[in-house]
Amino acid sequence: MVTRKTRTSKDIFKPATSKTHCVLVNQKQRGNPLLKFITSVPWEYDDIIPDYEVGKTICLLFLSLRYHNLNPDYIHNRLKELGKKYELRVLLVQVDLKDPHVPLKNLTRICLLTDMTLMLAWSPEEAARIIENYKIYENKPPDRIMEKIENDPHQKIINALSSIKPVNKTDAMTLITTFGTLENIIKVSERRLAECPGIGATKAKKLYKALHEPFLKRGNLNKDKETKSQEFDVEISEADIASLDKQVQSE
Amino acid sequence: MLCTMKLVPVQLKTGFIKAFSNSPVSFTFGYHQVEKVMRALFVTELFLWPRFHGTIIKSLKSRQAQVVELHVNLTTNMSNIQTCLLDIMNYTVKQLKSINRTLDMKEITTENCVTKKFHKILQSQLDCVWHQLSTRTKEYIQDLKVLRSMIINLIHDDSVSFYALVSKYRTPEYAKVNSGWILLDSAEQLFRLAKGRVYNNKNEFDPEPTPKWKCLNDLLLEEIPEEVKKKQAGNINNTKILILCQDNRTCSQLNHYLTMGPNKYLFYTAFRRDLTINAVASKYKKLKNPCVKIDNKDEKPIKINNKEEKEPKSNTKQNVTHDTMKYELEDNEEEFNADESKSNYVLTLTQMASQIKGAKELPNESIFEPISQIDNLDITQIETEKPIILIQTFKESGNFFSLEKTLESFRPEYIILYHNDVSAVRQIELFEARKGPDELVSKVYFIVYDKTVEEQAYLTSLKREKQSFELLIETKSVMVVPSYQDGKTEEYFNLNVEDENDSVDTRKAGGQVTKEKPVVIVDMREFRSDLPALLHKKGINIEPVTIAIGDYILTPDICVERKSISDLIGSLNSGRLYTQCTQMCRNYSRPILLIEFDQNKPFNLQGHFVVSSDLSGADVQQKLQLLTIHFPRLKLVWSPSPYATAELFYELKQGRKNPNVAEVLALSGDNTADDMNYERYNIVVHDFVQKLPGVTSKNITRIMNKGISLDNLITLNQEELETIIENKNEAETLYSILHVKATPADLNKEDKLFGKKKFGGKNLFYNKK
Repeated sequence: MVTRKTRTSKDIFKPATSKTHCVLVNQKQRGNPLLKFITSVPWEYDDIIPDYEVGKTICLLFLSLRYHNLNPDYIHNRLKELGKKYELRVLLVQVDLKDPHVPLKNLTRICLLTDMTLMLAWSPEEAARIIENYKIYENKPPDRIMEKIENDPHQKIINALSSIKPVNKTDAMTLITTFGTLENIIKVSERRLAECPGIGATKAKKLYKALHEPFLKRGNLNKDKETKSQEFDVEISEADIASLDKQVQSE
Repeated sequence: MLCTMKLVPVQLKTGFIKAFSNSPVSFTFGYHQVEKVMRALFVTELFLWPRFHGTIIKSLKSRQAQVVELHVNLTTNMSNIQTCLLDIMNYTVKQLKSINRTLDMKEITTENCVTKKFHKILQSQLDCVWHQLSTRTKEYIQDLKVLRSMIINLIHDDSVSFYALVSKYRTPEYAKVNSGWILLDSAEQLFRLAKGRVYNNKNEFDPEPTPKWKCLNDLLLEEIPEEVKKKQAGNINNTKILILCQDNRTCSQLNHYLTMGPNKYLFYTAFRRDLTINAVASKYKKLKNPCVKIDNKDEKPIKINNKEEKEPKSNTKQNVTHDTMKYELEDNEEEFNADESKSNYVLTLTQMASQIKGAKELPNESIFEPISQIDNLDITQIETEKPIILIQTFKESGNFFSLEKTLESFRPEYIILYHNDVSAVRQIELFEARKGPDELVSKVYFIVYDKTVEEQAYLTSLKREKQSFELLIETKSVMVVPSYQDGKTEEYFNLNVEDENDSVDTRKAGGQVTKEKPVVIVDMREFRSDLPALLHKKGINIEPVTIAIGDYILTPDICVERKSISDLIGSLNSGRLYTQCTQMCRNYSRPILLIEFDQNKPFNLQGHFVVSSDLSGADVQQKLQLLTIHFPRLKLVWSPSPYATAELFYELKQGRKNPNVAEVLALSGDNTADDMNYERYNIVVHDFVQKLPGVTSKNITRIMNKGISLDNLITLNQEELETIIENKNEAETLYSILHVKATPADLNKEDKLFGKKKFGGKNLFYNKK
């Protein structure tokens, strides 16, 4: 656990990677007992809008229920300030009241209206754990919470084919034995698919449609093409870059 | 179920509802159970008729049957085994409780383990928190069930079957999945004693007969004929004897015992249970028709020629029932012959008792034989000169009234209760009281093992019944029943509906009163919980439908998936929650995950996800957070109880449109809703590609962005795939799976020998000793 001085705006141009390895903590959180329980990840104070920033996409606002009862407007102001920045906005509520149901209901409603994810902690240690977990898992894939998948490639193909709604496992087996490879199944015509035993006209139609769908949805397909062409339209000269640099430094 | 009841009184203002129950104990589970049921059934008065009620005592006193209690002693071996088993059970219960201190386990005691209601107790206490229990806890529970089956088998089954059962657990495979009791001294003693009951110290097959058999034998051959002599001046014909026992297996056992004799029956059982017999004690050598050869050197058992045994013997008045044991021994379901599924048998004496007087034991020849008759013969029409013995279970295939029917039609003079059952006793009392004045008073023989769990279980059930009635009487005296509970007035339904603001405001929709009754679409499977009824009470109409995505649809945008803590943990671990959230987020703009707490638990324990102290909740917390990272649009709602949830739903619906049933049903999960722009990719092909070998959650986005389509992917060569995926191995795998024929893997999965409930077939548990 390391605390450093607040960085001044002069340091902003430094590459962002030097900071994303740790959790950024808002100065206002000084004195919060949960800070001394953040031990598994590094953190430092910084000039940020939310209370805690984890990476570029996750932020947390901390609120104690006791404090909320005394200052019910506080959270509204913080939320207004935060707006829609960040992909995942978490409201970390520490439940320190004996009878929290009414204020909790209130906060739940607020979260639903302002697109916040509500997480509850019953002690500062738990709150710290929550922040640590977000840091640890911020870039992890969801494999832990997904269904366990077989490692056998043959079984995987069967699962993949049966994920297309009307096709079941027996049909998948039939397809593989008839056509051999996935390539063949994809290449074959709809009529030929319908000729397989157990696969009639409707199944074949759905299967064919699924296999030949483009990956990107229609709207996105065009968008991508457009941005690609626009990307390198403007030529930027070295001089321009240098002047931009100076501009930033002088701020 | 609760909701349909609500609709009845609303529509029928006349008519009445009367409900009957014969199980006072069921009303003691949970809180205010009897009030809840009365409310749900719209009944306002409670009448209680316990056995100790004055009216009942008076009416039954006039004519009472003669009761003789026969206390049979267990053999030394049996009573030592019983002690061992109780020891082991105590140990297991203690361990179970020590790692689950926060759970209410006062119903899980050794005493209750042996009662019939044990699995129901387990269910009511543990089902709702099943996923919050550690693996070790579940092992303990499984072992408790195993031990229970053993102790019941000890009391009710013969020594050979018991030994076969116990030997199943003496294998190294079971030791691996066992929770630890097998290492106790008592366990070792148990195995030794069980064997000692079947093989004597010369290792010869010499099983001890069940003590109750001798008692039954004496009754049938000596005592009853004596009685008959006294009353009917020696005419033993037309005497009717009813033997009652608990389950089909015992019926069959008694049937075989009486027709074959104990030695032959035990011998036959040993072969059916695949026991190895190297030598037999001397009394077996005198068996008539020794149709078996035993090779002393050979370890393998030789099956007896039991073709004749397989033919169905006596008739049955009722149809042959195919569901076997009424008594559920979940861990001990071996294959039985078809005639074990019969629930009653009819036998008669072949020789007069006087002819075999002096022989204290049943010789090997049977003196009872089955009455062979054609099917569907009515018992009352049996016209024979011989006495009739009917062996039956208390409840034929779960029918409570079968005993009553039998008593009325068969009218036995002597009833032998081979097992005990409180309701059977009551039914016999009633039968006796109803008899005409010229009929003989019945004599009832109670055969019970002295100082055993059987005796204890009977006394416990009597005690429980008395306690439940006491509780009910107390409840009745303090119960408050509102006058509108019969549902015949509108008052009941309007009580909790909040007043709607009826004022007309021209600023809203130009002065029109846009008054739509609020509707929530509820998934059919949710009706097991209280929430739909509470919603209805709040004034929200419920639309029960089977929906594929979500549990409650509040508005066209809001979809709610409801989870209790236990369900949350279970579905997080299995991956189901991830799939559900994916589908919700694809189809609704405001998906909600509702986590509901257990309102009966004190609030300060709510922070702990898990119940068992040897399990950490950190894992669950991490998984939940990971879920929120991958579904940022998913909102979490933490609700302390269904009441709070109902309130929340009501508030959420304020000022919003009602959901449309047709639209909701159309969402099958195959396509995203048309107006949803959250998904970048076409989901069917995305999900297909996601499952292919070589595709991981890390490279799927790259593949989707640059792959264009499957048609395109198959035209690329391996290097081009590698450029897209940016990983050599994964590209190789994907390339090969697209272009090379895949072969099915070998089926070398280890067969789980000790699955959740069943064990392997007979042949695996081969006793080599």
